[in-house]
Amino acid sequence: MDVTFWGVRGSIPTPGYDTARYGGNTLCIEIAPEGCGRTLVIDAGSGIRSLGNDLITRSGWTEGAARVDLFLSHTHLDHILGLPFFRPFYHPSTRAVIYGPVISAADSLEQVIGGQLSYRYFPVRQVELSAEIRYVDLTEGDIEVGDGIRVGATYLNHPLLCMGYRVEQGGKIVCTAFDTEPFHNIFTSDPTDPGYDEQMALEGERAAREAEERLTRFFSGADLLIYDGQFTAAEYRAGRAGWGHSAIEHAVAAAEKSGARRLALVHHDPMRSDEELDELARIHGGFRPGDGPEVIFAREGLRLTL
Amino acid sequence: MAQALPFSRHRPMSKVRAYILRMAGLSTTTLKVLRVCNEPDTSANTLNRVISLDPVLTGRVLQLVNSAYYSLPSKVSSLTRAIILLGINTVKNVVLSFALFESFSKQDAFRAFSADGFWAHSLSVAVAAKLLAAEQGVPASEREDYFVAGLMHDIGKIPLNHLFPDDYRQAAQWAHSSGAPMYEAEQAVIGIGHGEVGGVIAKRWELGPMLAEALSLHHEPPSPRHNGVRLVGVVALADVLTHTMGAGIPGGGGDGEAAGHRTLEAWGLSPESVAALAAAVAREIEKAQVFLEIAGRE
Repeated sequence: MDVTFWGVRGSIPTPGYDTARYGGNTLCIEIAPEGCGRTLVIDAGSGIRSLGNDLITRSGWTEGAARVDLFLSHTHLDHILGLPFFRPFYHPSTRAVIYGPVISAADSLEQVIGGQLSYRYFPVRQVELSAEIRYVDLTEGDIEVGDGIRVGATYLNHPLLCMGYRVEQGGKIVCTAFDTEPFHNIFTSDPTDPGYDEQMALEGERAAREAEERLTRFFSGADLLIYDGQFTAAEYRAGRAGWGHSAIEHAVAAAEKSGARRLALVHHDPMRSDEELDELARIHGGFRPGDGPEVIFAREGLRLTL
Repeated sequence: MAQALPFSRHRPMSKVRAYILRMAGLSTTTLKVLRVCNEPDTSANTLNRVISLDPVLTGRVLQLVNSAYYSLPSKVSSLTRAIILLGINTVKNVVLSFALFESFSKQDAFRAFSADGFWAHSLSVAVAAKLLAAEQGVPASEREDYFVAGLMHDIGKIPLNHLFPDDYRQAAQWAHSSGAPMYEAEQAVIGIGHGEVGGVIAKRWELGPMLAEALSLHHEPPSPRHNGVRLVGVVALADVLTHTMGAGIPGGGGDGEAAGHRTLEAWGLSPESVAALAAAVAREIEKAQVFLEIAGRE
């Protein structure tokens, strides 16, 4: 199974001299399971443009029916803004399935995604795309994609419902966890706070702990865990809790707890320069002590074979 | 002497099912809900508190968490847990979308009984159920389930009252004059009881078997000593107690005085403990009224 990073930046594309080495495109990850010719993609940030350009040059793409399974973590702009520039959508031979979470049945994925392919945002309308595109509104659970590929979906902790994925095939497992921050008790536990409620404090504590335990089980045994590492722990503590992004230290702890063999950090802060990422990689990167995971700061173009 | 049964019209359940899909929050709490949910820095505690004053919005949030989270070992019946799992923003958006999904005036929405009266009774049963759960030794972290079940126990009355206002008023009048419980009057006049509707809502909103039982069987609970059914039993007791305290639904009929006394006896409650509970419930209702009142003044 090959995993290729086409976009690793968080929040907004950041082209420029300072970000050229790690890359400025927002999230897009290609997963190519072994020996079946299938293409799974996680998220459609600006990095999906390069992936699309590459896909249509691959042998057999335009001759026969080519299939793409695109899994959206959520529909915040930085994770879907590359979709209109994904060239396979303009080929009639492409069959695409787009999966993603929705808040309510009244607001389907097709409506949310199709919204940016409308006159006021983009010159090409959704109905004008040549590819056959099917939308699947996801809730938590297993997704049937065929060819012995198992995909599981679970909710992460973000201001919008957001999915983490677990892709298994041929004994290899890759998991994704972006955008997310650790579940924690958001109910006050300070008895002097006027809004304090003992019952909420206790239940909030228990619910957060159990949600973290569920995630650990979901990631268990991963050969590769791709995780939101936007902040440092100090940055997270300085007023960024609740934004829905993790600190590098959170990601490392999650990988260690779940027994992941390799951790790839993504969703790099848009303000982070290549030099700063190099420095963070020097501090946190490499093999963790004992049987801990190898920690990688993902950069655009990186390909990992599991 | 009991009055003759009114003619039953056997109203269609399909209308009730359609109504459940577009059921909105109570007008009593709307102003406060909108204010809290539109504030950018709402705390989890305040959000929880304002939602937990409204049986419909509480149900809607639980519906979302239960329909989305398939891998949880059991259904979520606590708002606190739902807010942790879904996050403040998602919960605020869901609540806003249902707070004003349909705009009713208090008179329009609550034809045979008032929104304020329904709200006060629901909250009274919620508070009483939570206090009784504490008395029964239920751990603090699990008492919210009892509050939620109490809050939502009569939710089945909302569709009946809204869809069939004339029938409902007739049922209430008959219950009042004959002394029959309201659920019997509903059955007699409309052909559908609020427990049955509550069961449909619980199923439709995926609230889980315990809450479903509390919503559908609170007028015919299994024996208090029966294993594993404490939620419905406690809610039934809380309902009887609130009627004893005079916190029944205005104009909505009683729920059977004799049956109420039998329930109190079965639980072995003394007049002193009933009085203590009544005082505690009254304090909580007053606090909630002040909480809502503040929204109106700001």
